[in-house]
Amino acid sequence: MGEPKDGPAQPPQADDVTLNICGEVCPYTLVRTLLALEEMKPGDVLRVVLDYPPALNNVPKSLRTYGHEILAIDEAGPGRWTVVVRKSARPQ
Amino acid sequence: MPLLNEEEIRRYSRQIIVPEFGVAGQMKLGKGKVLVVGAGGLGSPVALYLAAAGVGTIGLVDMDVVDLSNLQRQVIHGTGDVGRPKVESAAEKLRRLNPHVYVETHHVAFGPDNAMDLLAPYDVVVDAVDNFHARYLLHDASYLAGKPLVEAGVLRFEGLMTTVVPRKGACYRCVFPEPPPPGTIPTCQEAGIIGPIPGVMGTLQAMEVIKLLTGIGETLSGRLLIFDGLGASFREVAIARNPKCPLCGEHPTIKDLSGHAAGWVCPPPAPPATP
Repeated sequence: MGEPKDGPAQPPQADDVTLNICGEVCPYTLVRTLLALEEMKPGDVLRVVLDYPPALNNVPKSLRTYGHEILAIDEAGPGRWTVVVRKSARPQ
Repeated sequence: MPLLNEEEIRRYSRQIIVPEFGVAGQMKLGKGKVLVVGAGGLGSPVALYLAAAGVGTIGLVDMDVVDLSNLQRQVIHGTGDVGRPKVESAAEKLRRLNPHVYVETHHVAFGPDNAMDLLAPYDVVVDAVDNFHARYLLHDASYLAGKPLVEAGVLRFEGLMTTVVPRKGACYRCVFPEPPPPGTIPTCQEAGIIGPIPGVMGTLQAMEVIKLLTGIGETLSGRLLIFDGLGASFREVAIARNPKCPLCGEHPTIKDLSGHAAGWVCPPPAPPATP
């Protein structure tokens, strides 16, 4: 099983939600991602666009401890990445 | 409308990122209503931590005014507050700490005539009183109102606490059916207390309230926690519901607050006991 980082780019789906938190640093990157997920249904996909390099490791790692699934981490341009996460089916 | 505004996101970020707590925990705290009876040594840390955490409504009950002798432990009050009603002094600090919290002040004596009305709007009750008369009254009232009560008492270097969830775990009267006879345990002013003891116990009470409001973790229901400050140790005693308990037993004799005397005030210190 390859790391999501090495996997193929996740093509956006029509019903995906995108959250742009470029300019945000930790821990607000995680807090804003959690707040966005809170308003979504289990199984929904959120695409988080961020530009704070430490968040690239921290956010996916923390989201996994919450039980969410990291589908992909894609480059979204110079110094920008998209973390694609599927909301946990398990109640919080 | 967003779940939290920009300021709240930053204010609460360190607890929101704790997985068990999360956004859901923050929303539950925001809807929570907690009554803290006593704005003294225990009430100070309880109210401060609950306000800091973002509990939506905090009620404070205390009829006293701040005295200089309170300040070695009642850290919510300052020197400039001496002579002010404790609830007023405390409410000002809480609003300064977190303006998102709604603070309700009740500058009244907690008595059998107003106990049920005071408790009614709240979800959780905190015992931060300084005498057995008020403790038993608050305990019985909370039980009869069906409200969880976070109990604590402190004396000199020791603290004792439990959480009473009505009809679920043991109540205080299951273990201590009646208040100790007057004179057997030093009361109020004569007892003496080292400041950090109520600090520790009140802080633990705040943690219990957070768990009760958010539904995370295990409360102290069914357990008595004893803190020995001198030995720096905690001890835990399991407590079970007592079928003969006068309040929550099979044949309760306490069905209302009529057995509690109104207008009770803390008596002046007794003369020193002769050996």
